[in-house]
Parts: sequence; structure tokens; C-alpha cells
Amino acid sequence: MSLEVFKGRILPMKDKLFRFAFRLLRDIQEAEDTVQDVFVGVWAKRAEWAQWKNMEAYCMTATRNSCLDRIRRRRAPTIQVSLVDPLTSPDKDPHEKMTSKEMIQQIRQCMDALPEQQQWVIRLREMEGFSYNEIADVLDITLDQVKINLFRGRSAIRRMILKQEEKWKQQL
Amino acid sequence: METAAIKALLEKYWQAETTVEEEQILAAYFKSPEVDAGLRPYADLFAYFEEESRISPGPDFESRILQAVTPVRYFHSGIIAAAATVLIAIAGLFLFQPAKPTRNPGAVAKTTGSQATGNSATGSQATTNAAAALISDTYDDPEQALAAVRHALLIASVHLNEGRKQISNK
Repeated sequence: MSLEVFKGRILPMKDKLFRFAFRLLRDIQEAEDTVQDVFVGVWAKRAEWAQWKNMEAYCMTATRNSCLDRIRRRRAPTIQVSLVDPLTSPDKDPHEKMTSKEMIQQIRQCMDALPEQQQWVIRLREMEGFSYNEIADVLDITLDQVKINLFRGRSAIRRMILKQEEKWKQQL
Repeated sequence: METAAIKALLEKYWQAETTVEEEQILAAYFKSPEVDAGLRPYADLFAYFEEESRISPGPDFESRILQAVTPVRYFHSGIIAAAATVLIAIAGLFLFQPAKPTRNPGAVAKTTGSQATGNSATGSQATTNAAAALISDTYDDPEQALAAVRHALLIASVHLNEGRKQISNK
């Protein structure tokens, strides 16, 4: 019975939890190990599942805490890796492809430069499709803080995009 | 969707007032090839989000988790102990059954008589007879005996499998 619940409700979260861990740790193997540890811990507490208000929020929080523990234990910082190439449509001309690549690089840098809470609110919202309530649960912040962080983070990215556009126009 | 509607939705997005569904509409629009030239830079933003959301673990990750969560314990000590007890009990039933006097009534009486005469050769034979009488067969037909052993082992095997199933379902 517990195994059915685990396979049906908890295991499908693995990709989300992995991404969450990977963004914190920037290491594929370490992210997988962390999520595996979280699942083992959740399984060990199967007697308490019925009392958990939000299983996803619990797993996310456990993953976050586990990642932060690992980061604290690290002796040397792990080199940041970029897993994906910028998405470039095949019908784009070479100039467009180049500007797209440049813009995505700028967005990535802008994201990384945002205050941590803004980064997390944006990631959970844009990449995982979380509701405001779910974000508030995972990050242990109020609903108003979620909205403020999302607004400020998006505004910063928008400003950067407009600035970059302006720069390119001047170069032409 | 019309460009004006998208622009209005985008404005709502920057104000952090869009719903998840409205944000999905924006993502779908910016993924399409018909993006308005004035909005093109924002397509890169949604492309970045999509790429980041595609990051996934290795293909064997799920089986690794399941293995870590519910390892198959082939050598669970409790099961082994229970199985050993059952087998010993079954073996004991077959090997150490007392002689049934009604089956071979003459053997014991004959042995007692021979020992009383003091003849050593006859006595030795008599001892063997006595031992044979004590460990007398439960079954006269070997086929029947084999069938009984097989049946007993089958019962033990069924109980062993039930125990293992309970552990792997936990």
C-alpha cells in the first residue's frame, strides 16, 4: 500500500526535486544523490504521510535543506556548469541566433545576480509552475513576500533585456 | 492570439499579476514562430525558462531510488531462521519417530529373548533388529514416503515465500 502511494505520488516528483537540487549544487551526481537521500528519508517516515499537509512542499523543503547541508560541507566550490545550450530556432538567421545566444547568456547572469529569494521565487514559478501558495510553503515565506520577490525579480530581468536591446540598437 | 492581447498579458506578467494559466499562454506564444518583432527579445526569456525546466536526471534514476527505498533482502535473518526451524522440525518428524508396536510386534520380543541367552553373534543381530524396530519406517511404500516429503517441503516453501512477500511489500 505504502509502496503504491510512493510510486504514484512521491516518485513523480523526482525530476522537479532533481532540478531544484541541481540549481543549488550545480553537480549532476550530487543532485541525484541528494534527491535519493530525500526519498529514502521520506520513505522512512511513511507512517506520518497522512499528517503531512503538502507532500510536495515537504519534499522540496527537505531537498533544499539537504542541499544547503552539502554546500556547507564542501571544501572547495564546485565549478558551475551549464547543461543546456540556448534554444535557437532552426529558422533563425545567423545574426538572430547569435543575439539569442547572447541574450540568454545575459538572462542567466542576471538571474544569478538576483538576491537568492528572488531567484528561487522565479525558478519555482517559471520553471516548475508552482502556485504562490506552494512557493510560500517551500520557501517558508508569506504570500506577500512571494509576490514582491516575483515582481522585483521580473522587473530586474525586464530592465536588463531593455538595456541590452538599447545597446544593440546603438551598435547598428 | 492577437499581439495587443499578448502585450496586455505581458504587462500583467511584469506586474506579477498573471495566473499560471496566463503564463502558459505567454510561453506558448513566445515558442511559436509568429512572435511580433517588437516582442522578440522576450522570446529568449521564455526559451531560457523552458530550457532550464528540461534539465532531468539520468534514465536509471527512478530504479536507483526504488532500489534504495525498498531493497530486496534475499538473506533476511528472520526468514532464514524461520525456514531452518521448519525444516529441522520436518526432518525431526521423519527421522525420530518412535517405533509403533502394532506394526512389528515380534521384533522387540525376539531381541529381548536373544539377549537373555548370552550368544554374542545372535545378540549383535538382535541389537540391529532392535534399532531397526525403533527407527521403523512410517511408510511401507517408498513412493508414498517420497510424496509425503515433497508435500512437507512444498508447505515450507509456500510459507517461506509468504514471509518474503511481506517484507518486500513493506
